[in-house]
Amino acid sequence: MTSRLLPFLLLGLLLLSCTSAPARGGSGAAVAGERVLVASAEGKVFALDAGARSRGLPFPAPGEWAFPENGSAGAIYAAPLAQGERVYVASYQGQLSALDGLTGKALGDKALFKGEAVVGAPVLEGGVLYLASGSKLFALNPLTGQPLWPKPFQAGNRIWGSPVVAGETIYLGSLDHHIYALRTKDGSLIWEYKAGGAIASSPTLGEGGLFFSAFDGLYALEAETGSLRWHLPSRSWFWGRPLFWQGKVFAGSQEGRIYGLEARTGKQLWEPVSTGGSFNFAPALGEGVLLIGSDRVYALDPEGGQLLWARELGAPVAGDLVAVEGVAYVQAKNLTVFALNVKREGAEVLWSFTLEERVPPSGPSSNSSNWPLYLVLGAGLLVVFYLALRRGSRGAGK
Amino acid sequence: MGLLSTLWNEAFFQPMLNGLILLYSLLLQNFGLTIILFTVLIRLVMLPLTLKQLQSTKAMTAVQSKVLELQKKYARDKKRLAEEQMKLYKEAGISPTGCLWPMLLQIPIWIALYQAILKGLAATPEELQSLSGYLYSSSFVQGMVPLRGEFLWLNLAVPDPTLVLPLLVGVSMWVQQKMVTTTGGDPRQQSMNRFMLWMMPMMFALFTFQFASGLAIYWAASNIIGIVIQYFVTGWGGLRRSAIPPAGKKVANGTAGIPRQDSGRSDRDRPGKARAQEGRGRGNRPLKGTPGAPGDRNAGGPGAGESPPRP
Repeated sequence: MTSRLLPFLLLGLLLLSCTSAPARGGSGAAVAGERVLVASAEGKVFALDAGARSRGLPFPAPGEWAFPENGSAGAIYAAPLAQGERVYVASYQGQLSALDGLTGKALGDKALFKGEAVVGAPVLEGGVLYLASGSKLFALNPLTGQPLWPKPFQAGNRIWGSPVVAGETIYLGSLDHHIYALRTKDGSLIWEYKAGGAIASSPTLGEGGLFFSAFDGLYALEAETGSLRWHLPSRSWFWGRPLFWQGKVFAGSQEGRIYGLEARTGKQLWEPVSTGGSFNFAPALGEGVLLIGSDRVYALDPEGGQLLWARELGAPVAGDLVAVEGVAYVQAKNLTVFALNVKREGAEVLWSFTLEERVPPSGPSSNSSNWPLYLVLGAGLLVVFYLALRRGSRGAGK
Repeated sequence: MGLLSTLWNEAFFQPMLNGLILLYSLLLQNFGLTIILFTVLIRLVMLPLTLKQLQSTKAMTAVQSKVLELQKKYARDKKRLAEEQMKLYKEAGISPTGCLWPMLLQIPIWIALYQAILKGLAATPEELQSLSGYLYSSSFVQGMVPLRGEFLWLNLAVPDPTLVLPLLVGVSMWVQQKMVTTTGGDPRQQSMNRFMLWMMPMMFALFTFQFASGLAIYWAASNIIGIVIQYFVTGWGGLRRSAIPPAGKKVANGTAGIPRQDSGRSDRDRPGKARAQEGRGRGNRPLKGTPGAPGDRNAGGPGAGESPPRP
């Protein structure tokens, strides 16, 4: 009997120990004037006032808020989008909410949109809100959430990057290995290009080129036609959106190397810089310094590729870096948002703010909304098991 | 711990994961079919171990009532009991740990397969990011990621929204359990058997509501293959409608709790292999003075000691 029970006991332990990691979320920061918006890895969106944070005022200072006030909105990967008086928040549960930018209260009783998982931030351009949900791209009325296209654009797999809108064309990449150019008026296809690997982030436009990271390297296409300009093959994945600056393209790979290339030819500007981390987020440029985050924030000279400094944040970086007027905003996985005053010589922390006390992820899987029920059922089964054993013992004693 | 983890990944998990992806590329990028075929292949590779385990288990159950008798007889003399038990096992040609080793050898493979399916499905950005560290650098494997999770009506990365898979997993597991359930002997064991017969299928059916349906496909496929193997080794076992006397009651052959092999079904009904193995394998070797003596059809064969409790 022991031999028969053993595999089940082991399997039970295995089920408890080898379940998939829950979707945690956590976004890069979005900066709107003095306000910094960021989604924590615990399903809350925070609006922070840079002035109040640098003075160390208790949260919430006037103009600051957290949404939802209590509980969690679920995992949020997409950076919040601030537009006028409104803030749009899209969750991994596929819900798009519109909030009052001043108070953080939800506008209306219902969500603006409900669909599949959202990872890329929504984009508002020309009065249209573009949202990638699951493997579909929707064009929505930003006030009502009503779809504006007869049908959404359907990719072959999930879309995890934000769309990029330029004039009457939308560019987006998908995990189906394709990059698509669509018409803004109806979402119809202009061209598509198949890369050798999945595309998990947004493309970048610059000087007629379209640059994107893929799991088999970096690519540059002609934005107009979709024809290949160059490809930098790599055995390591490129995940984060590349940065275009003054005819150059910068990106980091998952094996911890930072690349600088000529946008026109793909020629490497300098030998790739090796670091200890794994780059999954977009780089930024502040005060002429190239910033990129992984296990810490690295600063490079974009011209010569020299590593200038590396700044520890107490935990790996959790989202894209944003740099505005020499200040870089970044969230670390210790749920802390940092504002770094970036210089060539180093980075000074202007302020930091811990979003919440860290709580370990709960639930057996990413779809574990009702795990307490299963816990109770499991406990019930154990009780039944115990009673059956007792009954058996009595039977044996007779 | 780091070394152990590296060893585990290099020796079991990564070959399994990359093999799964390779198969996926050959099967028109259908991950559902890949899981099923991979489960079949792994079970085929491990068939010798499985057979050895089943035969050892069968042999152990065949002498179970004799062990009980010895336990009663030498309840106050543990040393003598151990000697007699060893003698009995030796006489029957079985090793007390014989059914344990094949099973223990299979466990790491099952765990690796389980992890590979879970990891390969990578639903969230964190999961996909961590997947890259386990893939071989071949562009062939890298180019397959992420794996497409659609199969029939299912998204393999999320639970089945219908009742189909939970029922399939539960029923197939019940059938498999029922085939190997023993009824004779120790009442505590009987109680445990009854409990296991219902608890495990129910538990796994509940898990199916909660876990990725890709895993449920693996459980269902594994159960069904297990049923087929079980059938060819021991026949329908506990599923047969045979009349079994309750434990503690004397039967024609004189020993309590020994299930009858011939009741409710003729020899022709049983699978050929099972018939052929009867009285031939180590576990089926008849015992002197027990119901397994030559000419006694109760010994060895399919379902020895594993018959259902229904009269």
